[in-house]
Amino acid sequence: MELKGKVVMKKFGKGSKSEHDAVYLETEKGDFVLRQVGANAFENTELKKLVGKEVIANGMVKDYLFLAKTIKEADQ
Amino acid sequence: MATLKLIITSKVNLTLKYGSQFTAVKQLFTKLIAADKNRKITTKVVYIDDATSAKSFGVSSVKKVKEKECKDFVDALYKKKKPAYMVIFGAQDIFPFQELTNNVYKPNDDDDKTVPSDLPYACDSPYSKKISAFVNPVRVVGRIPDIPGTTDLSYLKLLFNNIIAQKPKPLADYEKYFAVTAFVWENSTQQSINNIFGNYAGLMNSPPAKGGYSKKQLGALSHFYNCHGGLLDVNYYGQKGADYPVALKSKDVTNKISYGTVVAAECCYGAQLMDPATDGFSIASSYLQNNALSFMGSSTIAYGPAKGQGLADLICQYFMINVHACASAGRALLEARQKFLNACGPYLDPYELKTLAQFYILGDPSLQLVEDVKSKDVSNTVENRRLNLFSKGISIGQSVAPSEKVKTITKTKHKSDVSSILSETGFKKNLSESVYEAHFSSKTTGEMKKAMQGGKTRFRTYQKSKKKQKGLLNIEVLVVKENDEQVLGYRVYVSR
Repeated sequence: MELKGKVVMKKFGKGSKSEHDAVYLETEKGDFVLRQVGANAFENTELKKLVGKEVIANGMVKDYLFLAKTIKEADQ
Repeated sequence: MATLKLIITSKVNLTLKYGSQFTAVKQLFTKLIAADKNRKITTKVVYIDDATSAKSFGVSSVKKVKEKECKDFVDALYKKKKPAYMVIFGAQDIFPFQELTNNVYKPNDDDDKTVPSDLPYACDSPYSKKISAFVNPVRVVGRIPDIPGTTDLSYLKLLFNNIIAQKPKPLADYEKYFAVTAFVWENSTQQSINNIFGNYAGLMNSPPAKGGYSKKQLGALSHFYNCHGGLLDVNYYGQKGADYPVALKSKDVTNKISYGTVVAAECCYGAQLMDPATDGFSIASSYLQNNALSFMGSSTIAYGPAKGQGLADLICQYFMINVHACASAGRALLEARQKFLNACGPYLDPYELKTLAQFYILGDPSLQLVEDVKSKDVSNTVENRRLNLFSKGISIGQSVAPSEKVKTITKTKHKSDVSSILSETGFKKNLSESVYEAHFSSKTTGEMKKAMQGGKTRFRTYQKSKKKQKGLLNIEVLVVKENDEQVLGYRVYVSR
């Protein structure tokens, strides 16, 4: 599926063993933790470069995750 | 009298999933039954959705293999047969976890709407979605999982052959350990490892540990992890500041661990079972595929305290200590749950309840990994232990008061004290607050009991974020415990 939205940084798992600054995709369908398939779930330099930008991502929603196969800036 | 072990599963789901290979699955059951006979265990298979099978155990079959039906069936079966071991066979697509409501669910905070759990199957309480209904664990329950979404008979054959071949080993063999902690949780994990093994010389911090461990390192029979984990993620992660290296990949254990390995993983989602076709091969499945015999871990986001020991630290180390004390894997979990309730109670905050529900074991619960030290002076049957554990579990259930989230937040009567605690712990006064209430049954009798236990105990939770190096935020949860008369104490749980 394709989702369009804004990439933002937010805290994930406050007070838990998986707490970290996570990259989220804010969309009209809700906010999802954005993760590239096969990438480090806790540290992703490439995704962090997209923070603040509108993107179009292709992949699948799993619970609160959006597992992205491709991500491109919306204005490209 | 032979000890009874019941393997509970769904004939319909197995037939749908395995098709013509279901016959081969049944042959594995037959082999296990024969092997258990030599261990003086009478093992029987119960098909929850097969009328003939269910009837032979004096219970009615279910029409749908849904959570409520499964819980009701397991309860009825237990009442009829009082088995020493209950084995759920299959991953969640064969026999469901009980999806309990997560009381600390909050979007972008704790994103687990539910906590997949096997705890209700172990408790003497009727079906419920509330974790608070299951604070009386009395049964030895474990799950032999297949792989979700995947038909892999060779995987099942390997698991069953490993179970069948198992013989207890000397404690000295299990005292050799492989342990990895996120660097930031070093002190807490040192305590856990020291409590279990009497030293922490072998504990590795991540970073610098970044996977790729040798066969010699991974060959130790006891494995312990206190690392980060993620939903549908095939890795565990370490942490030092903003550095989150991969501490373990699922494939790191391939051909490197020893037969008979036991694992306790504190990590978030540490024991999740994933469909390899879409999500990857989970660490838990990988361990079992590489000859581990018991894997204890969490289904969801797990918690630990700010300082010292608590929550996931406790239940994981209790499990491992019990395994080393010659308990079967299933009894090790049951006794760990009971000890955890005793340690945390009598008033249980919502994080303690989530911890209780989220940890389960994968593997045959009847396997005793560490051999008994024979004594002429002491004899204890499995049945006697079950009677004792049943009574203890019932007693614990009556002696604890689990908290429930309240919809309408009442202001504290101890504003000054709470303000002082917020200040002392570095929390600001304008943070959003959640309130949970716990109270003993209204049937409480006796003047002193009424005076001591008659009122409500409240937990007020606050969260804060603190800037750390490289812009990283560190979030802490403050839990203040109070009743109408006074503030009773507080704890800080920190993201670890």
